Amino acid sequence: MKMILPRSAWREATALLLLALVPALATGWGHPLRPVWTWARPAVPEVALAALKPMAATVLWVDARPAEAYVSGHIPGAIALNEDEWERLLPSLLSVWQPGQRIVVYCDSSDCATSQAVALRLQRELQIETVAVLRGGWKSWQEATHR
Amino acid sequence: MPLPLLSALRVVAATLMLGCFALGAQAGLTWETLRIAQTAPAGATEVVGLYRFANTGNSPVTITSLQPTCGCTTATLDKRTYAPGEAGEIKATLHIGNRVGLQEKVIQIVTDAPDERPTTLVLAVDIPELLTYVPRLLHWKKVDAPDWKSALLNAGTALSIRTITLAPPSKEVLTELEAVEEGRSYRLKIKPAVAGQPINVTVAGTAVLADGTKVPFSLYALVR
Amino acid sequence: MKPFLAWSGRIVLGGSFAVAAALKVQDPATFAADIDHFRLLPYPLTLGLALYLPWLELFCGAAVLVRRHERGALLVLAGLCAGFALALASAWLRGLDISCGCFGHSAIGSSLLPALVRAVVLGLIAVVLYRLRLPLAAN
Repeated sequence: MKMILPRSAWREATALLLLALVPALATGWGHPLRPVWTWARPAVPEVALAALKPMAATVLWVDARPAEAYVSGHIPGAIALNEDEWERLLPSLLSVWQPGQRIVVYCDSSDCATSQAVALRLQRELQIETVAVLRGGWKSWQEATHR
Repeated sequence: MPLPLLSALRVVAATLMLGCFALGAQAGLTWETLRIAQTAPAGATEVVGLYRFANTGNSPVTITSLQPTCGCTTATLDKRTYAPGEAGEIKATLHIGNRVGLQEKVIQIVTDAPDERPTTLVLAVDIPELLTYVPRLLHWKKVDAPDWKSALLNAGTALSIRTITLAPPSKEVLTELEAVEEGRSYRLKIKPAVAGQPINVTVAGTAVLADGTKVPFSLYALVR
Repeated sequence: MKPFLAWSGRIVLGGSFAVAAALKVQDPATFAADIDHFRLLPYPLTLGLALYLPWLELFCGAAVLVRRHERGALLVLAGLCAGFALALASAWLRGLDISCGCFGHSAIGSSLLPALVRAVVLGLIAVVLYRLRLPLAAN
């Protein structure tokens, strides 16, 4: 066993394992795209635009931004739904949503929490499970379509 | 530990301490509190939080940016520049809209004080949900039998429900309302009137609470 | 022939890990979500791995390419491949959609099999390269 796993190999492996800790800690401290620390998993999963490509035709987009932002531009086919006018806007969503259809909620970018709030409320009030939030929001859509 | 190394460590420690003192001496704004928690009164359309601060530094400080992270929150100031010793306050207003539950809204403050990191103010508002629905949406597939499905309407706060009435329902659904626990919990049963027909119906009503507050509610029935 | 195969193996193994790691290092938040799709670990541990694994893979991939600390790097990479293959197999058995993971269970399993094959192949390359290095290690 010693010949198959000599001590020198373990030493090298340990050195590499320890060496990687240094930039890892630096990443956790200062990387602009470091994950946000929480003890609990986010209630609503985040999904990147690229991952949605196989199912793009069947997804129902929900725009959680204020009304002015929606009017000035939104993902084609997106339904506006925000907490300012939840009661007025909810019936519009229900008039197009098919039970089981995946809903993806977006707001401006990764920095806004509005899409999580709207997605959580859809889960809680309507018990719709197939809800996710678009990582990068409207900004990521614009970047992808202007490429 | 070798003496030169010990000396070097002492120098480093002393430098760090002096650095901290220097930073402390230059500190800009000192805040009375960074987090305000409130419960919204029933029927309120907005909630205000006042964040008081003072310039405890040696030089004038200008607040260069006052940025709420939610469009539902506005933050205002009387003026931007504060002389040493001068106090001020930021008024943060959460516009409630149709929000319910605990809302935590953040306002980022940036100043021109050297070495001062952005300050995060938090306005935490609990908006009581006077009536809760479990669930708010009932749906059937077209091929399903049009069986009764039910939703529970519960008092969301200590205020009990005095009366609960339904608006005349659409002809597409049948409805029944029964008390599960008088004053606290009611079961609303809904079923499609005709099998196999697509419907999208709003079942509306009003609950009157013990203090006279009228709470309109609506649930949704879908057959797709 | 043998030296050529060993050289090719190093390029493929070291290069795959170094390039993949370089991409993951640029966006740790996305990588954390990718790991979390497997629903195997507590969330805080997922976050820690998302910060740590890309750097470990980058250093080990580079070590294989430049042939410094090579045996140690091959051990680590073989271990990582084994771990990843087990995670993929577990996801497959549970019917998880790891390409998105956003909607829970899904009939889409197409991304799992190629990933599993890749992990097994790279792991085998690591084991073979390690074995080739052993006579030198015994000296």
